[in-house]
Amino acid sequence: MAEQKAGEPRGEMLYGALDMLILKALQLEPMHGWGISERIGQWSEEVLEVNQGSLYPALYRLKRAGWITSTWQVTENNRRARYYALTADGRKQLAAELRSWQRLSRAIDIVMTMKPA
Amino acid sequence: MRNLWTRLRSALRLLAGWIVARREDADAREEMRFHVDMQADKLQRTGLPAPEARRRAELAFGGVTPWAELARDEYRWRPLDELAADVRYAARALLHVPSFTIAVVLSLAIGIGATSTAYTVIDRVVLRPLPYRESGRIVSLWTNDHDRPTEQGGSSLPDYLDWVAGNPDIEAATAFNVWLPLLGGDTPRPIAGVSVMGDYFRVLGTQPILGRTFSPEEMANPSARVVVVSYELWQRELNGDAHALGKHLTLTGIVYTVIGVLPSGLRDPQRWTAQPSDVWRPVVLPPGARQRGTHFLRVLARLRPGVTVEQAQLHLTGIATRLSAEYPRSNGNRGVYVLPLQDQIVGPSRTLLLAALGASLCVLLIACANVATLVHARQAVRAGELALRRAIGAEAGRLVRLLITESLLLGAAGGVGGIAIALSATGLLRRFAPADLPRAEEIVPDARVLAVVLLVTLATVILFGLRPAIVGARTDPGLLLQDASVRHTRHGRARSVVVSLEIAMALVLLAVTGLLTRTLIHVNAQPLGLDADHLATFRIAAPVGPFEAAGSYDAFVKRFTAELLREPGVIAVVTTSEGLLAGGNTTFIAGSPGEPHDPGIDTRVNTVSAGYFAATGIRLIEGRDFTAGDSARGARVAILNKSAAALFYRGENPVGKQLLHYLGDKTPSTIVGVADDARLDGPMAAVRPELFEPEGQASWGGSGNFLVRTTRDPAAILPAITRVTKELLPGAAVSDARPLTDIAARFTVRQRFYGVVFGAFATIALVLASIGIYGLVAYTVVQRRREIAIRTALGASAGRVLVRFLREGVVTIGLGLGVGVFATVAASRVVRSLLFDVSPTDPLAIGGAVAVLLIIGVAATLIPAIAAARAPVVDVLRSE
Repeated sequence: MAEQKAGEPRGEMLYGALDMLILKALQLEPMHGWGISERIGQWSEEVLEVNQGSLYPALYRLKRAGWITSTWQVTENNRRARYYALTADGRKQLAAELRSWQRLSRAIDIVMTMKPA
Repeated sequence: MRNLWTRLRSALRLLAGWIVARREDADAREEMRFHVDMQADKLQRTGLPAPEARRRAELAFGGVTPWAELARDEYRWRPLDELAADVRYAARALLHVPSFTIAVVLSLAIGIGATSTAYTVIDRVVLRPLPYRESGRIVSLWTNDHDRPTEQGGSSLPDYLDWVAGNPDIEAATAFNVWLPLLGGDTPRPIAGVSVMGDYFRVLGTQPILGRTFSPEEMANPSARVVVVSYELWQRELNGDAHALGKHLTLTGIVYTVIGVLPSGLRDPQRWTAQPSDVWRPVVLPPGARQRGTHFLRVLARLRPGVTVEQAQLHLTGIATRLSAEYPRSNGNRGVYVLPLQDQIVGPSRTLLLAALGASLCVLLIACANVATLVHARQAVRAGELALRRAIGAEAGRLVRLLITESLLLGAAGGVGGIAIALSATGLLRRFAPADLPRAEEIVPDARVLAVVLLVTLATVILFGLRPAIVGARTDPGLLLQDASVRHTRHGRARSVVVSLEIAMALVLLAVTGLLTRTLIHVNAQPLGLDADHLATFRIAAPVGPFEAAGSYDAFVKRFTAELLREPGVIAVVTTSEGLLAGGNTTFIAGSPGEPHDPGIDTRVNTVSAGYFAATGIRLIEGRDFTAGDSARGARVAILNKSAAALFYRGENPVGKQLLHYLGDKTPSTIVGVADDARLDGPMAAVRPELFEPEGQASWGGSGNFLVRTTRDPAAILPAITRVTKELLPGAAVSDARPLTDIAARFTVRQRFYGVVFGAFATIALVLASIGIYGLVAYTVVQRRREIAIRTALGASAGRVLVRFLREGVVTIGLGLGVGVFATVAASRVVRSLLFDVSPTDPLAIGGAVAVLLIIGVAATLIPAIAAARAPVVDVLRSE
């Protein structure tokens, strides 16, 4: 796990986008909780560090909303783990969230790169 | 729409999650531990030693338990969670003070149970209409006497016909009489039935569920031998067969055809037999029945819509007056009394049941008052604890919720207890109600009533518990922790007023119980006039056939008597037509032969066998008993009882005089004796004039009741009676065999029933009031223990401290007793109908109740006071 460096974006900023990241992580294939956290970490080149415990309330929330489902399965190491998968509604939600994220980030981008007149 | 569906699914998931919470919890934890394990493994692979890897992994995760708790919100319903926690906490807190909890729950349960039961009984028995169609229009018509306008005497056939013929007020009318046949051929069983004439079923508004009722031809010709049966008999004897119509029933040896089945639950409205009626037939008129002076019918009528009872009474009185003028001998003093059926069945009980309801409300009030003060006191005591909690940071709202939960738990427990009590009490009442408590079988607890009473008591608990709770939760903790003796004094005064009222109510209930007890004692001391302790009574009923085989009824009785006399302990066997509580309302107009125009006197005629008076122990004042010589062939003789002799002959010795027994009687009899009055209707009823005829000279029906005098316990003779009957008459049945004392007990059944009811209420009230007094004094003592300790330290003796508290307690008790005595004098009037020879303000009963309450009250005051006086002074002062 990368050490927190001064000036780098902190993990807490992640919270608002956590749901979206989880859905994205599951877009490819079903995965268990630890796998999701690893994947997000890998993809973001360790920039985004998911505070590992906070993943689970988010997962349950997404399950309650009907965007992911879960099943208990056995891993390659013969251990029992709960795997999560996107539902059809989940995919639609992911697309929707992506769109609004893009709109948001473009707006922030415009504001932040604006040169003072 | 999709949003709604999603939200619904989400809510259901939450609920489901809450229900399967444990499983979900375990799953979540397992999942999280897996995560931590995987992370630890990963760190190990980077070269860290195992314990260090695990430590880092757990640190990074942030701890399974806290995350599991947070995660719980996502799959469980939080408010329910909190509620569960509150309930568990409240339950623990309550269990910590068991005496308080038990006292409150018990008080609530008793209050709720007693009131619900009493109200259910009132509602079912008094308030609900009878189970007949438009039962408000059904009235009974009784023959009365001008001197006794509310007398309920039987009516004669000609009178009945004259009353109803062409009467515009009456839609339908019927007359009927009791019928006691034996059902079955081989082993006959006595059942109850009704012989009817007129429009019986139309008056009641009952339609048969199978078949039909009697046609006019069948009514006119009773030899048609048809019957209508009850639903219960149809189920029992005919197996509920849908093709039961046309089947045959053997009743007292005669074969009847079933033509109809009545709906279930139909009870005959007069209920003068203990068994409900099972068969109805067209009336069979015995000889002499057409006489105007033979009063043997009961009459019911259905009034036309819009006709009031007063109107009907007016018109009928007019008709009766006309009849009086036309037939002075039979109808001279007589009129007609119209009584609505509802009042007939329920009337005598109405006041008493309302009194019982009042008693239960008293109990409820006392219970609520006790609970209120207990709860209030407890919350006041906990003010300190609440203040402390507030001081260390608990939210006020949460505290209030906790206290409310406690009150709700108490209320719920009390409610459950109350429901249990109501259910068992109504069950007991259904089984053990006195025979004259009408519609007892309909007493089933009313859910509505239970709910109302429950709410009322719950409101009490919450209200009284809530105020100090809110005060405790909102007020600045510092203030609360100070000594607030002023508040306590004000509350203490209110409490003592409440306790006084409790005592007053307990006094009323105790006094009423005392009145009933005294009545019972008086009644039991009243002589019946005959030797009930050594007599057993029974009836033998058999179809005609077996009697004929035995020669004749008389021949059978001779042989039977002879056989029975051979049994050890049997002294005499006699027969009578009017037994204790076994007679009907059949009376005849007897009169002296010389004065044909004087109104005759309604007398009860008792046909008895020779030696009747010797056997029963009834004293003969003049003349002699009947002997074997007074038979059908001998001269006609009669014996009068003392009341009849006084009415007829006013002081003269009637022996030797002549008498006609009924209107139309051609042969006068000679009076050969006068017997002392025997109270066949019970020690509390007026004695009727009675005329005795010897067996062979019966003018009405035969005598069916046997009386056996024994040397030993009459109950011991009963098996012998059955045996001898079976030997002599295999097809016969012995019915109603019991010692005479059993029947005599039935006279006081109402007193005993209400005595038990009021006694129960009084005991409960007493216990609750005692708890109230004790609590009050104990509370005051606790609040003022500093004061006591200081006084004792300054030199006051224990005795003087005691006297102080005693004085306050006695003032409360005295006030309560004073109010109570007034209330008793006002209220005890309601049980007047039950009292015999005892005034409703009987000083012994009231004085006794006062004494009991005084003793218990003083004891309840003394105990905590003594404890207070004994408390070591130093300890008390030190603890402050």
